[in-house]
Amino acid sequence: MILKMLKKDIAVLFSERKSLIIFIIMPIVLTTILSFSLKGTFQETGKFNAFKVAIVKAYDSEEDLSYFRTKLSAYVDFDKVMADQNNMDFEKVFFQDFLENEDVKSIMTSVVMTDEEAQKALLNDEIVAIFYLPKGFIYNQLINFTMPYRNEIQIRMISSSEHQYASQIAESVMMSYFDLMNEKVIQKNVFIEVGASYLDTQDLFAHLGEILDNRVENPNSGKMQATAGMQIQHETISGEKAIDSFTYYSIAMMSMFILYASGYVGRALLREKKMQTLSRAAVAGVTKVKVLVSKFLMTLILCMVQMSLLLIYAKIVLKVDWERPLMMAIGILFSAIAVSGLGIFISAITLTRDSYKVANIFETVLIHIFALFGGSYVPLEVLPSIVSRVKFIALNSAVLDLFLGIYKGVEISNLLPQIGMLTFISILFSSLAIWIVSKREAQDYA
Amino acid sequence: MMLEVKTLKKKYGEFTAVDGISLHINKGEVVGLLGPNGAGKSTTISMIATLFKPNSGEILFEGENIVKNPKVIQPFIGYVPQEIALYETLSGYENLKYFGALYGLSGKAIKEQIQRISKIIGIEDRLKDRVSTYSGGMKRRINIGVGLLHNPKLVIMDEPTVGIDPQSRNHILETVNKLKSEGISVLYTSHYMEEVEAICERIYIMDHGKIIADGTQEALLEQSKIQSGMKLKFEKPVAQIVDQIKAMAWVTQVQILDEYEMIIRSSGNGSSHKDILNALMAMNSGLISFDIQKPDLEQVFLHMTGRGLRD
Repeated sequence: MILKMLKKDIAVLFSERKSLIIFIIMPIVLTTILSFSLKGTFQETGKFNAFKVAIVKAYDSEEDLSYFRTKLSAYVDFDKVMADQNNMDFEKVFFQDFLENEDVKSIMTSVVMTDEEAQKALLNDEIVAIFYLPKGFIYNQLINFTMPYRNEIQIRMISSSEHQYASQIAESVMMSYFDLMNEKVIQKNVFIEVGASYLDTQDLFAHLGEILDNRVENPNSGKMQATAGMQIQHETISGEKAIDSFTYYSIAMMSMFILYASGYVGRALLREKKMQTLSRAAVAGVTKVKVLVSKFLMTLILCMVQMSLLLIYAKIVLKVDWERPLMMAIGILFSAIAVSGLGIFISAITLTRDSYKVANIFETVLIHIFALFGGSYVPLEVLPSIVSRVKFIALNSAVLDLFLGIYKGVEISNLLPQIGMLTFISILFSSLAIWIVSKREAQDYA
Repeated sequence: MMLEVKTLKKKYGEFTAVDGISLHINKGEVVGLLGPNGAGKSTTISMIATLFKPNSGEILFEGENIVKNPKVIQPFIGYVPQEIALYETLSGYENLKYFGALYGLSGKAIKEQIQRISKIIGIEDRLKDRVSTYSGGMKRRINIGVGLLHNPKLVIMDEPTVGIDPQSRNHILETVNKLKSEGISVLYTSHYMEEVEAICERIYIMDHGKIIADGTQEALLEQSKIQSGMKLKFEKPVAQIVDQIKAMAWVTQVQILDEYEMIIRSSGNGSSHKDILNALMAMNSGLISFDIQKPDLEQVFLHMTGRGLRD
């Protein structure tokens, strides 16, 4: 009997042109418009609240200083140089003068972590990027400031592809520091001024020639490049694909528009009650639970068809490269299950209250709130941080996170929180729906 | 006895919609349930159709209590609600197929039934069209067809002819007569007294949740003791002679219809009509025509409830 009801529900759905436009055409149109119009915002910096980065120190400042002392003592009185040059304490310059600067902190805060802690924090979205300060970080800066040539300092940066804006800003902030340093080094005045203070002119140039011939050894790579300076090598989390606007909005719009299926099913059930077709079904012995199961399955199919079509459209027209069909199918299934649970819950309330108000409020107000809080309109990182903290209220947020994770190549084990959340939503709302209609008499649903 | 209702009661909060009614329907009998809006007809029908549970009382279908076990009656009841209970965006055929399927019909059986029923309701040539394109009368016919698909033993029709053309109404009344001839029992409610008079063998009159009278049409007329009347038309204004007419010995009631027409009722039988006519001729009243009016259910209803059926 449920299958017969399901077949009828699907026939009714596909006979209603207006519904099909809302479910299929509107998300396609909006995805296309938003993808193109907001394309730039996924590549350029914007306006942000302060975000957090992790600093992982691969160097030992004491060791670097000691090494530098050994190298430089051959040419100058090291202790004397360091005592007279307060600004050559690069540990202090970088961490206190630069990172603790109020202007920098208004954009980006930082915390020193171990590699393991930083990786975990990045996966948990607690930070937007990790900066690895390499071995010899202090030593190379000292060399660059005191010698005529520069050692290469390669800063490795890892960011989450979900935080395109923030990670690019973090990279720019760091670059501003290194650019400043590079500029000073290029002038070479530091070396000359320092050298001139402690060596006589003859010795200075004699040693300079020797340095030019031997080059200063980098304790990390053992190499030095005359033209090298400080650089940031930016990577995303290993194996992850970057998210562009087409990818983002095809998922974001999909996660929003599947919510309309919930509103549709809520409205459809009350409409059937008012048409008395539900009465007819009840007289034929159709129980309340069977009606709900039928509506659940109808929403499930509607949602799965809707999502599949939107993803196919994104692949063919917007050239979004979905690479994991099995994972996509799992994502579609669990998303549809959650939407179906929510749908029959709205149905139950709409039906027992005998008013379209509930479905109307859901469609005209709640879906848009969910869309905002769940990141369907704009990525959450551009909104106040409070929005990110309450995103769990929005079903579409879990769908969005799940599909972004699938797209980026995240392992299924790391997507279990999203899958679990969607399953929980489905079970919770389905149970509530059954409870609501069960405590009512037949006339309340028919 | 096909259906027996005993002291059925239904309350909504403090309001008593159905107040201890009893009725019965025999096999192959067409029974009318009459009453104005709010009399409790639809609530009664809904309880028989297992949609509502009564607060007290019993409903027995072929001797079994359906209040405790609705499944006893559900396969054998054909329910035709007052509203057009159809999916407008589906075709008539799809509607019939779906509702038939809910009663377990499928494959060849349902196709044959759809063919048979569509002939009875006279809608074969439009079955494949969307219901939304049908006229009001066609929708009503499909609405009835859905209730007949599974060969029910008892058909409940709640105002099945509201808002339709005379041709469709006649077709529906013919359908009810066909059902009767096939031994199917029908419980029929309507605002149209002439329909009930034409098709119902017995009638229950409901008001304020109670059955205030029941029986055959003749028995109800007899119970009501309503007098027959004469509709008279004069060539001169009735105002000039009304006092003389009121003064006649047999006349009990005078109702002026317009300037030249009136209805008079007398306490006697046919002989009093003759006496009145003679008196009118003698007084040179200008009588042009007269029409003897027998009492009907409408008058019985008005007499018993103090209000019209459509009030």
